[in-house]
Amino acid sequence: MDSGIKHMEVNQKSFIGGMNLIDPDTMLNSAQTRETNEDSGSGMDDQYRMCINGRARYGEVIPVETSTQQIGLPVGRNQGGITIGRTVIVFISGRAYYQLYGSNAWSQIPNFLMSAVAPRLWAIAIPSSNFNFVRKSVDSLNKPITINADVNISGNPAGILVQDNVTQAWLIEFNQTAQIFVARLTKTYAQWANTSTVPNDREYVPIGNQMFFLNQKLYIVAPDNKSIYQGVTGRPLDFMVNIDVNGNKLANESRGKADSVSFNFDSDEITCVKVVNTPDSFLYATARYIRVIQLDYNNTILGEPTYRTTIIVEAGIVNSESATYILGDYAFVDNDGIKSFNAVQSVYVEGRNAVFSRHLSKLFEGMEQVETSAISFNNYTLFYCRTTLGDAIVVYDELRKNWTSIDITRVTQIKQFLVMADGLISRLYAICENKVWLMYDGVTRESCQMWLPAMTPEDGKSEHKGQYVKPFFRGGLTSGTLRVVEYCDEQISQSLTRPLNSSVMAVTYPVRPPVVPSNIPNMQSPTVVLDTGLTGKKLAYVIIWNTDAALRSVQTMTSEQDADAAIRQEIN
Amino acid sequence: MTATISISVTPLTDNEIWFANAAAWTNYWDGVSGVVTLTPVATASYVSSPYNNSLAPSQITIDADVHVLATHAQLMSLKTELQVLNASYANLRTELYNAGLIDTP
Repeated sequence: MDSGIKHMEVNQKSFIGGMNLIDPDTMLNSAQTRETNEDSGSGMDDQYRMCINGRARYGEVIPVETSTQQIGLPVGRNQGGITIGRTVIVFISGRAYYQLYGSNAWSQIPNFLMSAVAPRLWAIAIPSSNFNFVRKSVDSLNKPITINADVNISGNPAGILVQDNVTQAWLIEFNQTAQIFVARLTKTYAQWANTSTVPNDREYVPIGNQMFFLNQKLYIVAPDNKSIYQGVTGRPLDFMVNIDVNGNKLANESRGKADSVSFNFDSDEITCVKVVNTPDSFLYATARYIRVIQLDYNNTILGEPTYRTTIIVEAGIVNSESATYILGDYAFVDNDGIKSFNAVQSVYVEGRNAVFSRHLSKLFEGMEQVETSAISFNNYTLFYCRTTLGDAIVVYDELRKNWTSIDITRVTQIKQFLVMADGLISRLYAICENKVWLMYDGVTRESCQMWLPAMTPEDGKSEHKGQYVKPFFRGGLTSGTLRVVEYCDEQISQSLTRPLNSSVMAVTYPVRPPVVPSNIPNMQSPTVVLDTGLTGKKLAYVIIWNTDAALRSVQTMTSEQDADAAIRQEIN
Repeated sequence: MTATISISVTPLTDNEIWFANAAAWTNYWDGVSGVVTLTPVATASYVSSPYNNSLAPSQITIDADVHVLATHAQLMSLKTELQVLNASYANLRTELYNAGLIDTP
């Protein structure tokens, strides 16, 4: 029995506290850090420094599934996509390809052809028109328009409108009879007619990029990203807001086109427009400001609402894919990190712009965000952005209200996330520069890393040396490898590998005939003895494994060493 | 021959960890662009020694039959052209061998 040697044993029994990269790694579970974690609802001793490719919602860490690259798509420039029900449509080099849930085959939508070199295609699902009456203006722009309710006009069909900011927009419809997707060009200003006899006669869609649908109106961001076009209320494909007293378009297109009733709120280019959860409102963002714009039906022009700013936040959004809704707040990627604001509360009180990602602040130091994407999926919010570890997906657990993982996998250069969910199925796609991935759908697991809080001796004069690390695993059907890396004073001290073998649980007690072998999967939990490591002030451990077993807890033991007898590697 | 390769990579920031896992390493090099500049091998210019077309053959008449015979001068002119070509070829192979483009001189 050793005398006078103090041992320190640390047991981490839960991981629900999430990642903490802002506090010192030796103080992750102190009372002070609990104050910075007031939203997580977590208890003591359950935070960790970092997790790569794992999820810890239920207290144990489970490696995420690998992602599956979609095959059968042509090689080309991936420009975006959209999901409708159980169908996903992807745009590649100006063409459109769709896949039905349950099938691995990709089919091309015939005739559809837009710009092959445009960096993005934007798509939105629109309903059929429901305001199928003739509109006529009166002598004043601000007076209500005249509506001929006794004349029904040809309405516009439902479909998927696609823009590339360069060429005329296309409309994708589903032919119920043939059970296939079909596509056609939408009509221009010149083709808009007031005949009431030709199908889709009152159709005029200006060229643009981002779109959103609010209060039965379709909005399109203009090609120069400086203004927004608005359509007729109740007629998504009709942007002929500016009509004369007879209901006809103006003879001079430059005076009557969508620009004549467009609006803007900033001299900077629009980066993101999105409907918010405040009535009659949408988000209007540039690189430096975010505004919530509200429709004003008390002051109208040609029967359509005007617009006013209700709040303004001094933060920007990187692009159209970088904002998402999380439990009442809007989280978005700004130029220098991930932030959030509450559109509802901010309308009535002063604007709040919380530094949402404070626990990850170290990851974003010095990083400028350029190409980012965000999505909410299975109660996690995923942000693809640039970090000090490279381009990665940082994962926020909406239920635990903390940052749970950084996913670094082969899925990179993500331009857009797509979610296919209808209550029974749930799928996440990633549209990358030249690949399409079905995320977290593979049969194997990514290699997971759990960076535990660091440990220092209670006596500030002493140093300590690792004795053993014992991770406890649960479940798991596949065998693999466990690796434990020890860091001593920020330097790698030793790295030890052990096999991680799957097995079954023992027969439950009491054992009575007939004895039935257990078929409950379990994973052997090896003890990793640390006998060749360095002695130092701070010891930290990383647990790395590549099976489907869940890490339940980790027991670590170190022993204090007399400072005079310590052998410690100096950092030069 | 010499080659210069320039690869454009994202600069790394000061950090405890540069590549957290194998995927990070792979992603870092994905899509990296580069420029390869090749400097050709220096070789001597080939100076030919053409055959002298002005040289005339000899004629000899035997029993009223005219026979045309190549002269010594013609043969020597042809030999000189061949020797210069052979020397230049050997020199070229030596230079290619020294540059590492072929495996025997």
